Amino acid sequence: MVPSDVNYVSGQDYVVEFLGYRFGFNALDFEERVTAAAVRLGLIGSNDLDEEETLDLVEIAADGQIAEARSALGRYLVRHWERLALQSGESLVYWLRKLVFRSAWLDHRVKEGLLEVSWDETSADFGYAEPRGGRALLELAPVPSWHDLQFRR
Amino acid sequence: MAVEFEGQLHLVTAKAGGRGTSLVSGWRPIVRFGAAEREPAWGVEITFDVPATLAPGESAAVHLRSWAWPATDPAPQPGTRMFFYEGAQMVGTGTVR
Repeated sequence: MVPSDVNYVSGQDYVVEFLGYRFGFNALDFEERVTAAAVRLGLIGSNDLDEEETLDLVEIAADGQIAEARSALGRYLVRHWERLALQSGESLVYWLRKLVFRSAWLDHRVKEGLLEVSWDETSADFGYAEPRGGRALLELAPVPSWHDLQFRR
Repeated sequence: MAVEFEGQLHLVTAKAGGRGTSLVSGWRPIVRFGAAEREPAWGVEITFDVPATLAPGESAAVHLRSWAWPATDPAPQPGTRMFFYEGAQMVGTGTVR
């Protein structure tokens, strides 16, 4: 049984389970994290999605499929799913969920004071670092890329 | 980053598709957490004191060390199921303790 304080909870609209953890998300939190994950994977170029595009992306992450596409992004995902679903043996749905879990885990660690957010001069971006001054951690976790199959309007 | 944790390992019998021979401490299979087909596999070194050798069909308390664990990911929680592979062959199961 996992103690409740190691599990991130912002709501119960969506639940993601990894490595024995069970994270609960409210709808807005999950939408923002899924969109950020899709940007990081290169599936979309920016997080500037409209409501229907966001709902299609969330449906892929939550259900692994889109029953009826609402947007051009959704139709792109459905039309090209055979190529998008697996890229070099890596599953798009798995990695969307994985990055949602990872981002919530890191935020939870910041909240507990075990990590801090720091500015990385090299990447000109914010990253997570150990309070004692360790390296920015995100650099240590490569992710697969869907850039070659990125959705473009 | 390396991650280390304790676990219980059970070797599948040869009859059930597992190894045909015993192994010793220092075994390096790959491990998946959870049964999902697309779960990534991690290299792991398994050490144990007792018994001296572990035969197919036997179980033991073991120490696990994965040497390339992402620094951004937490260590698996106690109770998480593990599946051990040699190539495509699943040769063991276990639970994180």
